[in-house]
Amino acid sequence: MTLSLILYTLVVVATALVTIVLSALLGRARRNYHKDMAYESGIVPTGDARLRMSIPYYLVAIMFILFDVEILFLYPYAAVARDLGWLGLLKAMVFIAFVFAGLAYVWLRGGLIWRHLSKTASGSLSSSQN
Amino acid sequence: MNNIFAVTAASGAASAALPLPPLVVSLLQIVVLLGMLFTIAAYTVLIERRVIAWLQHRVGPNRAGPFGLLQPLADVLKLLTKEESTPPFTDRWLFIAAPAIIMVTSMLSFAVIPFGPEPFMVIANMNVGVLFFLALSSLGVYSIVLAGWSSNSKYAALGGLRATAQMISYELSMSLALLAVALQAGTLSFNGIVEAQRDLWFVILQPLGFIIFLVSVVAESRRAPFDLPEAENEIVAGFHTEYSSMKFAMFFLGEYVSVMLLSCVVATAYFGGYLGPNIPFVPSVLEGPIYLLGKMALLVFFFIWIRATYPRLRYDHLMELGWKYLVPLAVLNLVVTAVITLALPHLTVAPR
Repeated sequence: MTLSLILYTLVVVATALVTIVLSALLGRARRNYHKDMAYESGIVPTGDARLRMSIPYYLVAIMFILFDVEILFLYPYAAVARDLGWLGLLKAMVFIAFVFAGLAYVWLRGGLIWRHLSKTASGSLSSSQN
Repeated sequence: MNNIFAVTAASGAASAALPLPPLVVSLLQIVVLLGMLFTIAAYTVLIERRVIAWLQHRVGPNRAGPFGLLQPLADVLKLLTKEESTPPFTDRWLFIAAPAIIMVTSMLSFAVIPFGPEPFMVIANMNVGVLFFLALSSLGVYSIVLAGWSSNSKYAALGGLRATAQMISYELSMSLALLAVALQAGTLSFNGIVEAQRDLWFVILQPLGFIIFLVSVVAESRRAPFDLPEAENEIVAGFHTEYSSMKFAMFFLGEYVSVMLLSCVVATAYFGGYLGPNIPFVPSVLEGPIYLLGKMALLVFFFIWIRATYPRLRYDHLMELGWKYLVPLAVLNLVVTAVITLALPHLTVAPR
């Protein structure tokens, strides 16, 4: 029911907000110099934490967007697969083949390697340095 | 053309099933569901600690009340009254928003889980329920990203990065496995998926898909053996290193609610959800919740069990498992399922 869903959303969001406000009100805050430092297991932190990330993280994010969107295109097909029959399956297979030719390409180019100096890939990219 | 939140035929009669005005029915649904979620989540924490202790030949928490039954209450009171700290080096608003997001997304997903065949046993019997679940689990990733980034602390940043890459990678195999389930059931609504399993559970029809989904789900919830984002001996507590008091507890609650949610989804998609043989002397309305919660409890126990059993993976192994094994296998499972569904259309009860 739409009514239930809207109400439920409101209640859940309200619960989260109330929890945050409650914890801010109930816990006494006593601050001092050491408490205001970032926690690094007792070592005084140096510099900022906004460091450069290694390239594979960007690669995974880009590949996720590509593949996830393409998988989403298959959901409408899944809902009506029975009605579309064998011809529909054939068309879906063409689509799947294209998507996973992409995965195979990424794989062969070494886009899935996380190790430094890996020997498993056929054509490893220098971007796999981590 | 229905709007996407419009509900399929069965639930139009929601208010007809109960002699109550729709608003009262909605409020009852919400109160019962939320009460159940909070209670079970709190006791899941206790059960996890007791079970892990049992598996490791320890006693576990047994001081607060008989068998430690008051431990969750004591924990909540303690966490609420602990000092709340929002460190000055953080990005204040994002830092506060992150725990709220994970709590909201994990609890909101329960709206599409059917607890019984009756229309009032589910908050929203959406015809895009599977997509709703996947969308919310993708939104949940934002919580981790924001927590890791806004903390401006090195452990948090590393944990956030790891968690993000891990969750988005395993989301692919998760949605591919669920796609095969939707294909076999011929519908994207969880009610329809359960009804399609009246003759045969999908775990028997798609054993490979079930294993892929189970592994992805454990990785998605960032629990052992996939708990690298929170690996204590490497990066302290990962993305929630800088959180304290109730904001920490919200991450904790979010994790346990998503463990329950993912167990419910596994039970719904592969183990027939609320279906089961009649239980004598129990009103038929209660059978659905009993079966679903029973299956959920077994799966939650499974989550705890593997946490006590398996060592943590190495990060490159984790990513290779996701991309090189689970995704191709999930595609194979999808194609085989499509062929089986078309060749033997009467294997499952056609919905609608």
